[in-house]
Amino acid sequence: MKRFMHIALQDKQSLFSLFTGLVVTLIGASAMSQGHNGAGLMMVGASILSLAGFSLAASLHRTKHAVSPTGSMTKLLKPKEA
Amino acid sequence: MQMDITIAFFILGALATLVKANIQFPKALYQGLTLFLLIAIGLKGGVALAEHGSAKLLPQSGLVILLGLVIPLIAFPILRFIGQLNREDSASIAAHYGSVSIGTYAVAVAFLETQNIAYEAYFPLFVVLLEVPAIAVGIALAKKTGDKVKWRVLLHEVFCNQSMLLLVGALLIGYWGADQIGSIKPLFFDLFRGVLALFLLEMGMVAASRIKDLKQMGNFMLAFGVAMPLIGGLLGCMLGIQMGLSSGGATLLAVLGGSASYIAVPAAMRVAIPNANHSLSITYSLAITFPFNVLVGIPTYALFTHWLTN
Repeated sequence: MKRFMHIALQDKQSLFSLFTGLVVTLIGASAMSQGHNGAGLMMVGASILSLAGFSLAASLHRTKHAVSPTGSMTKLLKPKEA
Repeated sequence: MQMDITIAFFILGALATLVKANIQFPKALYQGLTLFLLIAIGLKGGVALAEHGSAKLLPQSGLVILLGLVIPLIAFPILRFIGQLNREDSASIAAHYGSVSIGTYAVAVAFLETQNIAYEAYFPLFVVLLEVPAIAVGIALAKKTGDKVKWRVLLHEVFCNQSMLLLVGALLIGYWGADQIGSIKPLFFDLFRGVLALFLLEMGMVAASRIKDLKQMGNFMLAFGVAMPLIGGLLGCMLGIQMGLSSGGATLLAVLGGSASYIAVPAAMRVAIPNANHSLSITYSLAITFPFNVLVGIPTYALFTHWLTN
């Protein structure tokens, strides 16, 4: 979760998308709670939120994979150095 | 709130494209429908100006121009620093959002009439006024020292483009010939919603055909295309209430603030900022903001007005 937050804060575009999705969903929810039609806004907000979530998850996945090969390389190198 | 019947045609057009139905919509017919809508809106505004025009329109017009200057100034830093777009693209897209969409305006008028919400009928005057300031701001934002703008060609594009010329022309004709309007009323006023339905059918097909561009651009594009109309809409709504407009008028000003141009500004931007990616701007305004405004945005702006006035 901490790592997810770190990546979200670094990736300005995803952060903007998350914020937009959240605001749009909240407007839709408050419209619905007052008896207005907010279903469209809720759907749009949820779509933006889920896309931003997928994008952040992909970034998280990429950083994990970027770290692991280097780790395995050092493991391979260490016995030789010794 | 029931969906307007004209909007159902927009959904039909989008669905037809998504299921790859072979609907041939002649380009000339689409152009003809656009001309019709521009003339009808201009005429309605001109007649209303002749009947209700007063000196209070001058300060209102000044504030509307201010709105057109402020919106691109909000859009530009978001695109440049969050969206990481280059200066030219950011300025061009910002100009699109500062200007107005005549199609969205027509849908908003139909929506208000269906809901029996009264509005100031001279609104086409504000549509005309909002076309130009954003183009000027867009050019100023894109310009680097040493850049040369072909002002003559640009001014021709800004003031003699199809939407500006027909809208202003019809506004003046409506103002001048308000007492004779009965002779052309059956065509331009009574058929308005039917023509709008056909126009939206084509727009639905155009918007759906650009969905593949969205897949390539990522989630920022979708978020910006939704966030910016809401920001512009909220500003327009607040300004409309401050100006003392009716709730329908404030909603219409919100629609103007929240819409993005796809006719007048693209033509001007091609001349003013030739290095910008113009298909990117069109994708933002046509594939995201126009469908959002038509399907969700317009009732939301009416809701903003309701919340702010109560």
